Amino acid sequence: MKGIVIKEFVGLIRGIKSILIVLFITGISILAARSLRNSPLFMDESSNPSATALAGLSFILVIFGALFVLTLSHDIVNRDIQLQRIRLLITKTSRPSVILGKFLAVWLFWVIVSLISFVLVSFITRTFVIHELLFLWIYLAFLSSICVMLSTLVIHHAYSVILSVLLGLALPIFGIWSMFSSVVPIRALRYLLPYYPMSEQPALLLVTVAEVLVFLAAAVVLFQRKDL
Amino acid sequence: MKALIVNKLSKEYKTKKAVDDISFSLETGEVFALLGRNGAGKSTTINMLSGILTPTSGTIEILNTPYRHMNKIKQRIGVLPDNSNYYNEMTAIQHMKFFARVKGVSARKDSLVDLLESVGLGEDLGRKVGQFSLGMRKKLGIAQALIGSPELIFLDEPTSTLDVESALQIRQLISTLASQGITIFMTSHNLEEIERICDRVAILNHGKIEKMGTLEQLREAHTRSINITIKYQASDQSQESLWLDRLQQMAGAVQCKPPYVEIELDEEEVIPEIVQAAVECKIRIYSIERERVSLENIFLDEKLA
Repeated sequence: MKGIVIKEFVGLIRGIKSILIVLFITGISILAARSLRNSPLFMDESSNPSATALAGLSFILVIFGALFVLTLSHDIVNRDIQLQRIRLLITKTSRPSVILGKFLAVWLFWVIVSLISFVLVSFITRTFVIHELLFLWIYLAFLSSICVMLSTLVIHHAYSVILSVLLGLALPIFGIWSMFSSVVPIRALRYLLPYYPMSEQPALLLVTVAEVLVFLAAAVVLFQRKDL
Repeated sequence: MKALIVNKLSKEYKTKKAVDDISFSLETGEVFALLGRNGAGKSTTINMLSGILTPTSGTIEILNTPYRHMNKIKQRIGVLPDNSNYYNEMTAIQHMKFFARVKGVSARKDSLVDLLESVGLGEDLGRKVGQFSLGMRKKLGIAQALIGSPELIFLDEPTSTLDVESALQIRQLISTLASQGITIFMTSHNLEEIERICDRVAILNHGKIEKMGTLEQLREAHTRSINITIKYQASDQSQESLWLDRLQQMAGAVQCKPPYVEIELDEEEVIPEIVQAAVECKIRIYSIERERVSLENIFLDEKLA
């Protein structure tokens, strides 16, 4: 598994792509924090400009995180299946190790990206709020596990691109809608998606952690049943 | 000791039974080949044995370990699957290190370099695989199958796409591995290659094993008559006619094309009598060649059947 984690992680982090993502997230976080300082979304932080910048980072990842993670890594599993590279992996290690390795690589990449952005924002604002970062990492684990499950479920690259874009847009829309909606089915989504727990009820992030495990287990079962 | 035991193994797809109830076993250190035309079920069989495909039914025991513990077995086997691809942006040595890490075995550079050298990629260690020819990719595939000193190696068409020299090198490598006690299970279309390096052969047709055994056993089962060709020289024509008349009495069929005579015999005990008759008729014999049934003959007969 270690080999797969290193290979996939290096593949993601290497090159200009990761630098651009860090710069984009950091820049937009600071800009968002400045322009949204008086927004009702930042009521708690509005008295403290430094905290607003950190909240801006979370806000950007909440809004665009799903789209970023899913579109960047939607083919983390199916790419190797389509290119027939997976056979060489599964003859050397267990199928759960392949899935777990891919998940850890995607998650680790986003953990590092968010950490770098967090350190940059903290350096600029001279504030360090660790719990924001931990919540963000749970949220990124949620997205990474969806990404791996999606990539195991949908073998065709073109379909997984479309699905990743749709899901990347739908997740934050439904997540934020559920926070303010009084319609029961939509309101129920607040307990399934990590947006409400991150914002209002951090204890509910345990549900998100459980969901990560469920998605990974589903990906493993799907992968185990595939003839490759 | 058995390295591999396969019992009533089947693989069924929606529209087709690719492998139908096959059973066989391999002794440790044996080189075993699975033969068959395209679509006979060779690759499906090797893919099931190596964990790529899940069998529909049947049992497999690899290196005294049941198939359900396949994950434990993976460190002890090596596999060259039929259609496999590589990471074009990685070099040959980077691939070897990566596969060694994935397999959870030593990734020492010198031993991995040795493996690449053994398949003839010693001068291409640092080249990106994207620049490799099909033959070089095949060699890399064989090298990666040897990572971690496997006890049993599955090779699907190991010499296809290789040039004559490289194919010879791989055949020698397979023979060397077998002499070290490593069991080899392979498929090939090259019948001459199989004749040279394999101890036993199974012929697969429509997912079923039609014939199985050592090459000698297959030849014996296939042989209906003995064909010999004698190169001779007669001192005079009357003696030659006399000898040929005696041959007609001894053999099933005689065809004379001087200085050769082709004779079909029912049993090999007649051969000394033919020589004796030649001596008595003052016929000088330069050579006696017995036609051996080739694996190709056996295979083609199975296909026609």
